Amino acid sequence: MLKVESISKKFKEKLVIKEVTFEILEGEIFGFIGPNGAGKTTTIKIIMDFVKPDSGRVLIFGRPNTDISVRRKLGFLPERPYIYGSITGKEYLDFCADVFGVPYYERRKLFSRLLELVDLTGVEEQLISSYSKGMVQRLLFASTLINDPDLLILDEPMSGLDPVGRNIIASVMKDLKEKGKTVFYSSHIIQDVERLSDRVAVIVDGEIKLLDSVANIVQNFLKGYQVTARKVGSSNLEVFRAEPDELWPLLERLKTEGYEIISVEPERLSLEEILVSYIQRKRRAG
Amino acid sequence: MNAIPVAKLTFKELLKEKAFLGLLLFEVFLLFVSKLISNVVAGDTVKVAMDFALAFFFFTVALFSIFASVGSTFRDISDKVVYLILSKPLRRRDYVLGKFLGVAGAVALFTFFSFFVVTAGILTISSLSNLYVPHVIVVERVFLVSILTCMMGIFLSAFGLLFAVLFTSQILALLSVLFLFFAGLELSPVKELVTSSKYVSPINKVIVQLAYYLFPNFSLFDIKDYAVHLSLTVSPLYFLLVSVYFLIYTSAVLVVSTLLFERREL
Amino acid sequence: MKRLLLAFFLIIFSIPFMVKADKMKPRVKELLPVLPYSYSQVLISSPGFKSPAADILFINLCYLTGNDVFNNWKERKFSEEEWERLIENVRVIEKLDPYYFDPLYFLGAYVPWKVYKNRKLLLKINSTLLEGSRYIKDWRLPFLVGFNYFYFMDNKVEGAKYLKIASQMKGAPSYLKLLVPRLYAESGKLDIAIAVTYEELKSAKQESVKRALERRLKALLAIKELDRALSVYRKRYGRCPETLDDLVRSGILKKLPKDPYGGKFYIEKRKCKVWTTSNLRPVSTSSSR
Repeated sequence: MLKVESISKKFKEKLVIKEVTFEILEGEIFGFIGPNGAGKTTTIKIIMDFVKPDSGRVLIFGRPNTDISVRRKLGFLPERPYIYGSITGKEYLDFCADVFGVPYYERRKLFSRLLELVDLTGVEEQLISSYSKGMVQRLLFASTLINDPDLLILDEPMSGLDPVGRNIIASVMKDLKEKGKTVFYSSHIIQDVERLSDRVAVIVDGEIKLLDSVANIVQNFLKGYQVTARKVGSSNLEVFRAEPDELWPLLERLKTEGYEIISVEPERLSLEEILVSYIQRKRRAG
Repeated sequence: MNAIPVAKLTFKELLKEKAFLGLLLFEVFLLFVSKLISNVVAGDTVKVAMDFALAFFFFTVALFSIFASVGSTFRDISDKVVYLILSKPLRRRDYVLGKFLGVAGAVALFTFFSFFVVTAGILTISSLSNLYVPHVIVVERVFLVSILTCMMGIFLSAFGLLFAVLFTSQILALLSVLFLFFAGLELSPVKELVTSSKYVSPINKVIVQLAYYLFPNFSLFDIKDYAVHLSLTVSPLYFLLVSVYFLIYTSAVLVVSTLLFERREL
Repeated sequence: MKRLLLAFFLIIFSIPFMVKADKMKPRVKELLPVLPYSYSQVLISSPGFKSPAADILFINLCYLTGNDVFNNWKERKFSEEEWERLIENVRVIEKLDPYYFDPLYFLGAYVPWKVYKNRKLLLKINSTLLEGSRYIKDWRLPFLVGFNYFYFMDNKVEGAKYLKIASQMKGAPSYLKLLVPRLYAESGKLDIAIAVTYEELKSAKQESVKRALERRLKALLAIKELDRALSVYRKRYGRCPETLDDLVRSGILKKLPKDPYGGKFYIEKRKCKVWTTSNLRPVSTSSSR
């Protein structure tokens, strides 16, 4: 779907993107995380051909990203997007429909479906200047779906949104995944990434430090298990801890001692904790 | 023609900008100013009022063109609208061309409205003043003046676009276009004065001549006197020549703008 | 709203201070209120505002002249230098806007009365008017030139020349056509006067003008005849005759012609030329003047 091959970029002698390489597979939601200033937005700009890399190349649908035909099936939303306040929502959607050559008789249905998706029904005739920031972002998000894209590239789609807005976007992303679409998005809100993504790439100081599925990462950073049990006939709950490789022996032991298992919970670092510790470790080492 | 959607979007955006209506209202205000100035003159007050009204008209259209082209393009780039647009299957040159067409459309409409405002204004002024020898106003002539003024506006907006793409500072771009505009208006008289002067060194004469040939000549579009003085005549060939000059030079500016924009990192 | 009101009153409050201070501000005393403007400076400093610049110069000029006329600078009037500057300024105006009529009219109709003692300035005015008439086809411009020559410079030939040009232009009043031959005749250029009258007679359309021209021609021809006789007499006797009757007595003329205007021909002794008491105007009207 999207292949980024060892791109590098210098801004005024400072290397901001260093040999970044990753590939996004069809049908997955790919999270791109990193602290502010790590090079997320620059990478996305290179992918979108707004900025030329000094070396390396980007392939979208197997074709170079400079080929504009790849954008027929691409949706993109920049970070904190903005559109002129002096036009109405419908006028902007009309513009997008014009670009993709959507015939006029299909537009009404298409627009109302998209607006319903992001919970903006009924405001399309109002000037965008009367929208709240979140509404603008949702409108623009909806507009990226106008061409039914196979690949969606979103730069910080969640930032600047209220929880309701975040939920809307998250659920649309899940729907898209179910339809077999691919989503590539950057974020610094890790809970969302953890909740949504199949795989993540972590970028720090212009380098990809970690690239794996969310499940694997969390698995790798498993601290242990917490087992809650009680003796048969007793009403007191007892809690036991087990290291990752000691769960089965513990359960065997409890069984022989006549305990009833109430629950087994993995004790793990959240993705956030993993990243924070990871980044801090790197910083200290550097 | 992928430029058309961008042109439509730009056009719609500019029409609802405050600058559009604001400058039209300013135009009305300037008509009052013209009337006031004409009141103090002896003799043909309508001539003086027309002189001023048409000069103000010319400059309001120029101002609108500059603000529309530079402002709109800078808004796009600084507010990231350009990312939204360019993520669509549009070439960068489509974007520049669309932007230009949109601004040109807005300038044309602005000139058209201004034409009505100005014509209504000078007709009113003329009807209010009791002249011993009435000053005849030919609306067709004012219309021809408006057409050339509109061309000037579109020409100027091509430069606005060029500088908006070239510079990263909006103030710098605005000042450059303004400078270019005034330089373009002054070139003909400067050349006339310099080449006829005995005190200018030959080298400077050559420099002025070169500037005269290469700089955009905005004074060509200024035929206000034709509307004021009925004894003046302009041959249709003049309009043809000016139009051809306008088309060729504008295309050149657009070619440079697209080139610059394609190289620019956003 | 309260703050706006406060601000408004504060500004109002500041006005007396400003006015007082403005009065006390040191100012360079302007010696000559009419400033000389240069065409190139005005042109360069008003891009796209060429005609309005001309208008403003004219407004300024009218204002200054108005002050002069109504004695607003009690102690003094325009000096000759100022009048010269004023004429130069009109030239600048006309260079900026060659089709602007009013400044030329002002220059031709008003200024000569103020500077008639200075021949150089009068000539300058006339040349400005003539330059203007290259662009503006209005009979008043050559008329004013002719009038200046005739009235202020006592040059009847030049005067008649420009009046003739004026009389042939569109909109010129018909009496101009009659004025021209008279001026020629008064100046002693009888042949030109007769030729001009002939020409006018040929092109005249109005019946009244035609009749007037015919009468004029008759009178001119009579004067011509007398003049010829006079020169024969002078050749023969070497002196000017005392009266016209001498011409008949000496047999040069059979009889004296009559003045169709009802006046009497007589000999202007000084120049030894024939002229008429009617001054080439119907006697009834000329006597009332």
